[in-house]
Amino acid sequence: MKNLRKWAFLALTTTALISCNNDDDSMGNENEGTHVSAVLKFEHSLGLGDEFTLTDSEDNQQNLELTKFKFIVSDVKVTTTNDEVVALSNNDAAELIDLANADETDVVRMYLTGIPEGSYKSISFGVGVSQEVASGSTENQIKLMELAEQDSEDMVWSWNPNSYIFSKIEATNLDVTTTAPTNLQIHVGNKGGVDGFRTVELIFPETLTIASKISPSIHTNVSIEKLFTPDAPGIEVAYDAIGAHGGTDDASINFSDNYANIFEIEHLHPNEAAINLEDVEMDNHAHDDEDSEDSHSH
Amino acid sequence: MKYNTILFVFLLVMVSCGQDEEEVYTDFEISFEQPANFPATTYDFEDNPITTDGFILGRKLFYDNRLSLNNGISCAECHNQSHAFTHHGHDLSEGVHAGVVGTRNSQPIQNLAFLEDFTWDGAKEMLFDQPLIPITEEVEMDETMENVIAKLKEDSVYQELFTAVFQSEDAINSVNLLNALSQFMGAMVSSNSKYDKYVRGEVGGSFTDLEKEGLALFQQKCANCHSGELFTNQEFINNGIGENSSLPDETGRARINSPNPFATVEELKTRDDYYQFRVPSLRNVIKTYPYMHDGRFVMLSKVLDFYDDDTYPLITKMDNLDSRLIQTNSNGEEILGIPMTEGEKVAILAFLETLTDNEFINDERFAKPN
Ligand code: HEC
Ligand code: HEC
Repeated sequence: MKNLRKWAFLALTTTALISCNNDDDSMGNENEGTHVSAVLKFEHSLGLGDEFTLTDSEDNQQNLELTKFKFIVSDVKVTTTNDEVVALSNNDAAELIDLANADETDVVRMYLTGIPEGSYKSISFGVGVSQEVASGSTENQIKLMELAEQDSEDMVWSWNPNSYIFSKIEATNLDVTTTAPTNLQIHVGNKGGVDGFRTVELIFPETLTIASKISPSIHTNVSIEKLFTPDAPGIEVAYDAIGAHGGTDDASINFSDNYANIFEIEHLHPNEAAINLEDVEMDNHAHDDEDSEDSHSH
Repeated sequence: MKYNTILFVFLLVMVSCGQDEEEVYTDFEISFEQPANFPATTYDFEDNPITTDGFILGRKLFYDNRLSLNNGISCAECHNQSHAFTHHGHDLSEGVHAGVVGTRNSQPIQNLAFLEDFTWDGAKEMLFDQPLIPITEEVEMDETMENVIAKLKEDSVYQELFTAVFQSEDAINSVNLLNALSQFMGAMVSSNSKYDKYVRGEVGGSFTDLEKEGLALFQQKCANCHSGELFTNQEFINNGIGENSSLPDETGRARINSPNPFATVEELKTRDDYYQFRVPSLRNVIKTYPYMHDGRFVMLSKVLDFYDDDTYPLITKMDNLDSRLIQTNSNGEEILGIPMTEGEKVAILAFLETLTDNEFINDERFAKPN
């Protein structure tokens, strides 16, 4: 079956290659670009360099300075008010949300394209890359791998069966007086039987209309501290209970679960003027800072 | 994703678009043929079918120094055809940085289309993304995928080849790079040793009495781990190889199975998969010296002395030493290893010699294209 589809696809693309030398995109836009259906605006509770306080496993308060926060978004799906689920391809909609690329207000934008016009009630996405995707079609991972390989493979565990690092949070411990001045360093993936992949579902506070005339945005708060101190029913995690320092599987499972807890839609901007992906991408690249501080640690 | 895949014959007509003199197109077709005596493949033929031009692209990449930092070395540096694609005599391999060696003995690139896991500790479950390790590891090629892709994009020959193989315009990306390498490596099947001809009853497959005796002894003493036609049951096992004091960070399979990416060696030592390694295939074993995950034994006779219960080097008994290597003698005493007389060792060695596949080692399709 899959084979047939693959050949059909190849045949199609071949025909496409032969038949169309003129560059009209199948998207069919009035203004020669890829229309942005909607914008996911992630407004983070902290920016890089911000100080925050977390509790360690001995109940001490530790002051930390955030140095890295990033996660891969995959498997984006939107649901219409008629309960139809529209799955967006990872080769379009997958994204790396990296606080290092945030604007002055700690916002990172993710641009969704190709959503059919209509009324929608919710959006869901995965934090990380599911095992199904990671061990499935390679063609469907072209963008995901490119994202993971940015900044010297910063989101790649080359030596792990599932190569993707799903998320990273790192912070410097400012309390030099403590006996264990352990810096915060949590990297989540699917490793050794503990799968940190989690799906987040966000219900829109009002119906979201997708139409060619507009590019509405979904303003979402990302409460980084809630990874450790989630709202009930989430389970609190001491910041030093995972990773380098005698971490337990339970703590990393709880921590991964808390990812579903950190996102909350603040409001929609339903009628924002239509934008094209090509324009915002150019804009984004202007912001990109090239430096990739080497954080190799294994 | 395992498929029982059968026989792929791709007839590819290369349209003569070769303006490039360098790119001499040798006249052959690659078809993946399942050897009659081999197990089912694990290679994902549906996702990434092996084609002649995909194979040729993969081979070009395999022999291309641009996959490493400062274009220093290619994959073939450590995977040399004359030694069944291992690193000719090196225990550990120097990578792109002079004087900096890795921690493992290079493995043969052969019959990978049949393997469940890759590398000594099974870090990878798909051949597809295994090359991420050598390309990015500091002790190997120390390059970034982004740089490799950028370098390849500058080369119009690669642009054409990638487009031809992957049927899309902007086809140079890391997925396609990995898929091309997989096609090349997946097609590298070694199945024409004297032993194969013997079991298949083909010409050139007559065994001497000594070789027959060796085969029988091997089946009795070794084939519970080095089993089947690949000569590996593909399990991860602690075979009594002791710690190597010059490689204190080596933990074997424990590193892969631990859920903690930052686990310390001390923590990993407490796991029962500490110092487990994948049972290696013994095909072409004469050519793949030195032996074991760290290449600590130069000669096969030393390997047999190791397995033997009495001759030096001895088996190290960690808590997780595989039970197949612990026996009790008639006095009820525990003996470690596999009892073998010196005569039996000679016969086993004679048998192991029959696993050399000279057709594979001299197959020009796998050699560096000129
Ligand atoms: C510096 C030496 C070196 C270079 C260069 C190198 N390798 Fe390797 N290769 C090794 C070593 C050592 C191992 C064993 C790795 C381990 O167990 O950690 C290995 C293992 C492998 C395996 C696993 C085989 C098996 O049986 O599981 C594959 C596949 C492989 N290499 C492919 C490649 C490819 C493709 C390249 C080029 C992109 C490459 N290697 C470059 C040294 C090298
Ligand atoms: C209990 C399982 C087991 C048995 C029985 C066993 N082996 Fe092994 N063998 C292994 C494992 C595991 C390794 C890899 C260990 C390492 O690399 O540290 C290995 C490695 C080897 C190697 C090194 C191959 C290479 O490419 O480096 C040779 C040769 C070998 N065995 C031959 C034999 C012979 C001959 C016998 C029978 C006398 C035998 N083995 C019995 C598990 C076994």
